[in-house]
Amino acid sequence: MSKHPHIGRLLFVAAVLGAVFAINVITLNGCDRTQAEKEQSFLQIGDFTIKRINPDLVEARDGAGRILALIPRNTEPPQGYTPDQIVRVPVRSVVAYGNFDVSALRVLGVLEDVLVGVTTPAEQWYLDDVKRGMASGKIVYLGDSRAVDFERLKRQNPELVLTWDHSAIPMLNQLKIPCVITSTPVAMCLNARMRYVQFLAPFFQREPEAEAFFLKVSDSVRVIRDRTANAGAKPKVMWGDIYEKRVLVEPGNAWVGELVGLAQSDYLFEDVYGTSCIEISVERFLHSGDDADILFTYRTADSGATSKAAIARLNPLLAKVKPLIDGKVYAPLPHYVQSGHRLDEILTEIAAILHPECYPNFELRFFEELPDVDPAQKKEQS
Amino acid sequence: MTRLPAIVWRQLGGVRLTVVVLLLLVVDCAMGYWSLRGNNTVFAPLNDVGLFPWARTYGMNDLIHTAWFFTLLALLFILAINTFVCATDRVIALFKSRSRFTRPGRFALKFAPHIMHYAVIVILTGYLSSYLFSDVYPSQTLAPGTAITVPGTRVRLEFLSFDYQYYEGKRLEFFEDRVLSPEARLKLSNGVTERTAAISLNRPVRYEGYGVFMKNFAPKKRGRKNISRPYVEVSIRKDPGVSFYFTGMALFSLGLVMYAYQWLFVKAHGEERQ
Amino acid sequence: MSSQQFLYMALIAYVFSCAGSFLPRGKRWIGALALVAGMVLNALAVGLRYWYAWPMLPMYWGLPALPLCMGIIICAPAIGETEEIIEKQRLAEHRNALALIVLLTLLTVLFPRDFYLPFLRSKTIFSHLFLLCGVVGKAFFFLAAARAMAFLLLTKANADNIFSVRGEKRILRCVVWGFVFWTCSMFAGEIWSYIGWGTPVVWEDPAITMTMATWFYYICLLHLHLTKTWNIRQRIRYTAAGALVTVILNCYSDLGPFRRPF
Repeated sequence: MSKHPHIGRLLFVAAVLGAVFAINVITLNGCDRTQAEKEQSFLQIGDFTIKRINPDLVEARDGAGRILALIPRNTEPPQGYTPDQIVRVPVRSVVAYGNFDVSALRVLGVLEDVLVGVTTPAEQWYLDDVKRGMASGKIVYLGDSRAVDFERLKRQNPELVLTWDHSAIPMLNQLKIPCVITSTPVAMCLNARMRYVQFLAPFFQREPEAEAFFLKVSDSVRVIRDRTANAGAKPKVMWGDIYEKRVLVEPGNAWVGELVGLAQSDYLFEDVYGTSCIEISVERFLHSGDDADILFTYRTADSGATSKAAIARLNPLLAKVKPLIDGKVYAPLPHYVQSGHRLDEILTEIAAILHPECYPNFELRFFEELPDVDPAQKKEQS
Repeated sequence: MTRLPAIVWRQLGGVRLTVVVLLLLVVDCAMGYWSLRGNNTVFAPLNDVGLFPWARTYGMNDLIHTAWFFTLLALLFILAINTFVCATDRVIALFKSRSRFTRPGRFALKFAPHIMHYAVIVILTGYLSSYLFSDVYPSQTLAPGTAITVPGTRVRLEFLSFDYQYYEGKRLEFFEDRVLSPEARLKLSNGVTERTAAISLNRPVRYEGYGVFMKNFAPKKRGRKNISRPYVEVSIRKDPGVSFYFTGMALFSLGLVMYAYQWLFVKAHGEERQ
Repeated sequence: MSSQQFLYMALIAYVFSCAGSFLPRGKRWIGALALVAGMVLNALAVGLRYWYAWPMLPMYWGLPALPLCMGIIICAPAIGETEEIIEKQRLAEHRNALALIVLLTLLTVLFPRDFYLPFLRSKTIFSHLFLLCGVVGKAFFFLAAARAMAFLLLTKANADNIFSVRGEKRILRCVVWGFVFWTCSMFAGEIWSYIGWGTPVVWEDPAITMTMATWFYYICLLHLHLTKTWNIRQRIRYTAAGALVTVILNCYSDLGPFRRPF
């Protein structure tokens, strides 16, 4: 038994406080800065980060954890970075693999000026800016994303490549072209999806445009939350598909899962955590399918999603899920994947699908509700 | 005044402090689960960037989800001090009373808990060294025929070839036509000597103090179309804490075996009274 | 038949086993038979999960395997147990353990988390050891709690006598075995984490903090025992509370969403 309980207690408290204080002093310098200043100096957007070291150096961490150093065009590269990490800003020419990256460039107002290469052929583009650029020859089709023609890419002289393909890194390093990996090991949450443009903004020095976009989308989220607050029954929602033997779904941590929850609905894969298009067991998909009211499929009309009957023909297992029997199935329209710059409208449309009573007479622009049978089949039947 | 250091020493080694700190650790770690859940993008970079840079950026940026971690560090610090003081006191007392033991084996077994105590300190020291002093190059991508040099060194890694072993059975439907065993052959050189080694998932390679760990690879499946170009993504780490925490684990295991043997098979109470 | 269906049947068998422990002495063999049947069905369920994952690790199979492990330990000869205890206490311990088995099986049937597919990085002996030792460790912690609950029910309050000492020793033996296996699980996990990710602690899975929390909880118990800081009854209450703590800290993260069994 201690003869000095008070000294003991005082010592314990002092030890805890001392340890916490020491750690804080060592690690948390700059606590006197305002919250805005702290956010400006370090910004985390999911797996991406932007860290402002000084006025001439910004460190960006991409989706693969690679660090890039953004420096003004006429400055000496700082110490501690390899040549393939250096990106001179503002970037003047970009190759973009992903549709969402192209949309982000549009949001930042630099698409027409900087985009020089894409991996989708001209006839599959819906963005006028890109169609014009490809018609004029400024923007070039570099081949399918898994078989990019690096000779053609080199000829376009890009200063930056935005890609999800890790295998491109060694080739781009050889060509001395910096690249940013835009895919992440974990699906982007809603906040990351809204703020992604803020990650790309420093590359083009377009932070105000990125901030304006984020505020616009945040506003639409707030409106969705308010508008659906008193909605009636909560619909049960699935987002995924079955491909031969594989089942792919959007996990609960993805932006779609968060949005569904925010819009007073039940996302049936809310407990699933991981990357976008995560693979799960068929049994789980079918079990959730027993309860679901609405299914969002990945497939478009081009890949067979023309009606519920067509989807059921593609995979008979899907015919068992409740949305195909007496619920609703929605498929994305072809331009949906190229509409990231209209994220606020997309979020609103999803909310309108979940709660049509809150959005009377809403016209769908990014998704289509699949009929029970194909129109031609219906005609035959009638 | 000379009494004060003795009082402080005694209090720091007190078992009440141990119990309180351990219970606080239980609560803090449980809170950590809820903070980590869905927020691992905040904590995952901790292994790459190091403790201080992480604390200044991710840690400060999201205190709601990282406060438990700072508390964990503080509690582990106190636990380490408490453990050291308590174990040292008891080891000294044990040596002073060694004449009570007739059998050297029984005397040795008495050190079991103290070996475990010191081992915990070694393990915690290893973790701290790891997070403070590691050199980490987290995502280095290599295509066959390409090479990278570890920055600031002459260590060079060249990707020679990639061997795949596909799953050939029918039992794992989800794994049909997928790579089951990826193996990348690397040539490692430091400008003077070189050697070749094969790395795979869960099979790293060590060279010149650096560990090379396979993080990712492609292609992951065979097929006629839409197959990714082959590459391997490695993480290169020079971690001074490795030897500490593995030594600590070995010591702890030794102490645990001794303790379990003593508790489960030896009638300790009779020996103690003697 | 699927793994989940085998678990449903195992649950029914375990319920019969638990009920059978309340039968008169001459008929308790029915309960024992039901327990064996439950274990066989449970083993089939776990085996099937392993069959469809090997050489990788089936995801979240710890909770389905836990009742099986507890059943094996109950049936196995008691190692190093020399204390004489009254039949009433032994029966109470047995009933408590069976009740916990039923509860855990019910949780795994109603809240399965069997939809994640195995991943390639789990193809190492250390991942299997990590999970297996963890299951065994948890089983011992639950059995210690079962014995502790029986002790608290049957012994007088604050009786610090030879029977209490023997009773505590019997309970603590389970805790020590549990702690040994739990530590082995943690170390195997750290080795797997190191060879797979390059660092012994990977922050991808939040369950790592729960593993640490459980370890600290039982280290605290061992310290309380070694130093006799609390009296016997308080220490045994702490051990009994370990069941709830282990369920919250370790079983909760293995639970999925509610699924109707039929």
